[in-house]
Amino acid sequence: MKRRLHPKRSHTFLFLVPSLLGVALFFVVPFGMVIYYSLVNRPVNGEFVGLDNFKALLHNSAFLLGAKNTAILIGLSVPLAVLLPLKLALWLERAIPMKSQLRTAFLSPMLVPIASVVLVWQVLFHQNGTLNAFLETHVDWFHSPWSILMVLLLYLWKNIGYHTILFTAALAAIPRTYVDMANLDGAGRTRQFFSVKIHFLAPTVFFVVLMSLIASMKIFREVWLLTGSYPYESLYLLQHFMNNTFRTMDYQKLSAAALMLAVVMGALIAVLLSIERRLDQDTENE
Amino acid sequence: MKKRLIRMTALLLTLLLLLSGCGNPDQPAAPGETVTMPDAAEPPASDKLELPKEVRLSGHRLLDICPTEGGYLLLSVDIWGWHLTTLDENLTVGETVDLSKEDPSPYRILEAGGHRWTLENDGDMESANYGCGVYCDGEFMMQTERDPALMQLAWADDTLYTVHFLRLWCGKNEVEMPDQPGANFWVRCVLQINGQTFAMVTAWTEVQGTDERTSVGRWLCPIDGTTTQLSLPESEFPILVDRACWNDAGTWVLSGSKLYETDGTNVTELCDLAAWGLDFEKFSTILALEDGTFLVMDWDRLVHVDPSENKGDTLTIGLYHPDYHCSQAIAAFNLADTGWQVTTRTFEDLESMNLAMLNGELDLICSSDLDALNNYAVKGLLAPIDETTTARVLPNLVPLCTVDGACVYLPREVELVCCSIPASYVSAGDVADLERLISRIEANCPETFESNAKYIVLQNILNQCGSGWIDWQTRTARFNTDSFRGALEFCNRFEDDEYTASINGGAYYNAGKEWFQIYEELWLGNYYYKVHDDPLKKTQARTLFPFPVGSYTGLGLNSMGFYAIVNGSNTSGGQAFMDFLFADEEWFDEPQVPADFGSEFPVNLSHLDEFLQRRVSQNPTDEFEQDARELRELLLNADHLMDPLLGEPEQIILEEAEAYFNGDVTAEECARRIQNRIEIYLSERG
Repeated sequence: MKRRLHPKRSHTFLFLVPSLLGVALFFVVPFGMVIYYSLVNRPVNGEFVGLDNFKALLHNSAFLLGAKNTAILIGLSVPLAVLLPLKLALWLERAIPMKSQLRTAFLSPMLVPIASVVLVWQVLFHQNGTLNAFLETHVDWFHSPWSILMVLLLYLWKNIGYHTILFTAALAAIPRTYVDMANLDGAGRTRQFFSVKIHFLAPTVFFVVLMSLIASMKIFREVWLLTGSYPYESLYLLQHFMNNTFRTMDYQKLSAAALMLAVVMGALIAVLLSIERRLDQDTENE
Repeated sequence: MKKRLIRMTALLLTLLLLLSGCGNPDQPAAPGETVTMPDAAEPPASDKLELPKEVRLSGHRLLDICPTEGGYLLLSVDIWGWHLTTLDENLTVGETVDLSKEDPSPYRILEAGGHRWTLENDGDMESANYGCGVYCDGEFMMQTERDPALMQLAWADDTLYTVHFLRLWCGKNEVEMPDQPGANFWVRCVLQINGQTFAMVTAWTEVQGTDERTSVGRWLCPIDGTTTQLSLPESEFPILVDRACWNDAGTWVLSGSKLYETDGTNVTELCDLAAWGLDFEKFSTILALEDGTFLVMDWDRLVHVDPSENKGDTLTIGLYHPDYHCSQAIAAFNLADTGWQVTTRTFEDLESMNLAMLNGELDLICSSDLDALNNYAVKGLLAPIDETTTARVLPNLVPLCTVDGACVYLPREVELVCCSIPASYVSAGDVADLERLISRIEANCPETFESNAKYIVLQNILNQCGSGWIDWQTRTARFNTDSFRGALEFCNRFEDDEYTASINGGAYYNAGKEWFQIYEELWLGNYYYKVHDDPLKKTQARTLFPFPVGSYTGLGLNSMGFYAIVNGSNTSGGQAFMDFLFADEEWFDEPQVPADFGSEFPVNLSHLDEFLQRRVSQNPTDEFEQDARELRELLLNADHLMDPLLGEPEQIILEEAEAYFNGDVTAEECARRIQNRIEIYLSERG
């Protein structure tokens, strides 16, 4: 007997068609084109070359340099962008004076236009800039191996405030019962945090990790404004490679790099999701 | 059942609502949007004026045309002076009046409001009134600006409007430009739309110390006879307008080579005037006729243009920093009977041209950006130029324009570029080694270092022989070498700023000093004075050589633009264009003034020989003939193109050199940083 679609389901599908069309047009089709470009050897009248573009990319020193620097930046910025705001949020949880003013101050970097921030950073870290005057040195920070730290500092300054607010809200949502019980059992602050609070903070931590991951990729904008399309090697990020290959119409390299990045990011997020799911289960079981 | 019916009706209505938002042709376009209007009703063929296709006055440069009673007045100039020619309504040439050479020379003429207005070049270099004046019926009315050839007269609202690109007068009142820090305002023209008069105004910002300009905006600013200050409207006009004309049927504007109809907000392209063989860099006037056709004038021809005319198979040429003779080449090709017409598309940035290339919208390219052309060639976007064409040009030029085994671009003309130093200051071998050259300069002409600026010298070195430090085949850079460090140190010895250098240079020149020149253009007009002593001017013969980076033995070739064929469906048409461009038959007109020697040489060998022969015949001496032979030899032995690093590599080097010139880093550190960054640039392309 033929199985007929339930009338309600067919109506639902019909209502979804316009959204599906939009998603297809703006996401699925472009993604398909990226896959196509990654498998041909030139942007116009290209011939199918299989995985040759990916193999060439793994031997391209510019791509490897960009990937390495991006990995370093992510490896440094994401943990710091989680731990520092969490610490600040725990500190704000206590009874300290000017708490609301402090919260406003933490959020204010988000209001500053990027171009202004970049200008200030250039003045601060220029060879004849403020930091060198203070330290009585003459280091060109943007041309040194420490240049990645300047970018890290910029990233943290921009994003810590927002993450702190997220953690503050998450801490406020923890049921007082568990904290009080831990207090009664004689648990100290550290024990309370690791035994009670961290389980309830898990979803927020996951969310902040995800946001930090995305923000660490977007830091390219500030780096580009500071140093241009071809910066010193320690500041050359993966997105520099992609930007420049777009300008020179190397779409096959660009597409292959984008696909590789998508796979890596997808794997990373899958790992994070599984950890988050496990932590969620632990919390529910309690 | 009823509920089901209601649900289905609701669903259908929702879908209809969504679909109704798509493409309503009656909706007005957003401001600035280009809209293709439905074809206007064409007047029947029998109502169109029967006019000749063009009018030429042999030997004359055409300046302006205006309607008058019974026809037109045509203003022109030749080597004998200024002339006013009457044309009847059928453009039949009538009487030509020779305007006296002693009188001020008119560049613009307009009959309106019962008067004859002219814009005349008056005064002299010594006079405080030197410049240009507006005359009414022969009587002086007001002083304006210099450059009369760049000025326009327009009549609207019973008012005469005088336009200079930096200034505007409404009647006798000069109009104040808007005040925006950092922005330079230009007035392009005056036009009238539906009874309202406007000034087309654009604004630019300039990067200090460079020729780079960025367009800030373009507006139609309403004006009338009492306007004293321009106010910018909120919305911009979609295109940059150069000329305009109007009558009761509408308003039309020229932008580049294209003619548009406009209602003040939207524009509709009617035709590309290049298809009529008009040189779009030399448009002077356009008049709208009552039958929907136009009279368009460039320096050579008055052409009757019917936009509805089918001009045959069309090629599109993309222009990105093109050769300044390109418009002339396109005009000449469109006049020739090749079966093809070329229309133009001008690009302000490389990304737009990249997109047009990928979409197959272009058949030809003219650009001075070698980096972009090489990139297109490597990606197979350029078609090889036929060997029958390349066989006609300088044989040493073809390998310089070859990428992956095929010659894919060629310039129409080249300049010969080198360094020079008084021959008595150097001996054999000195000019081939940088260290020896520097020691000769220090010993014999140390004022060299005070007569030029660091950045200018560095830029010249990069332009002349930057490729000496890059191997494009293996994609390796050699900036971290003694040769480049030596060049940096050499540049660092010069003055910090251009102004001081020019003051010093002027003083030394007046004192009769001679020194090392980083950049020389050689042509027949100056070659004699380069290679011979001149007792009158008290100058010495000079040794000519390429800057010694070790890779080159010949001089350099500079070109204002290269032509290339795009690999696509119209490759045969593109090849026809290249055949015409490099044909042995001469189509390039000589300059009007015999003494006007340019510094460019045609790359076509037979053209080159005819060109040199013509020059020699104008000055038939043994020395001149010998100079012509030597220049020909130098041209044929030139072994590199200039500006190979134009774009990112040059920017990187100049940025890093700034720190070195400021004393913040050593030459070694500077060279190391440049090597580092250029390596990234090259490995991206690997």
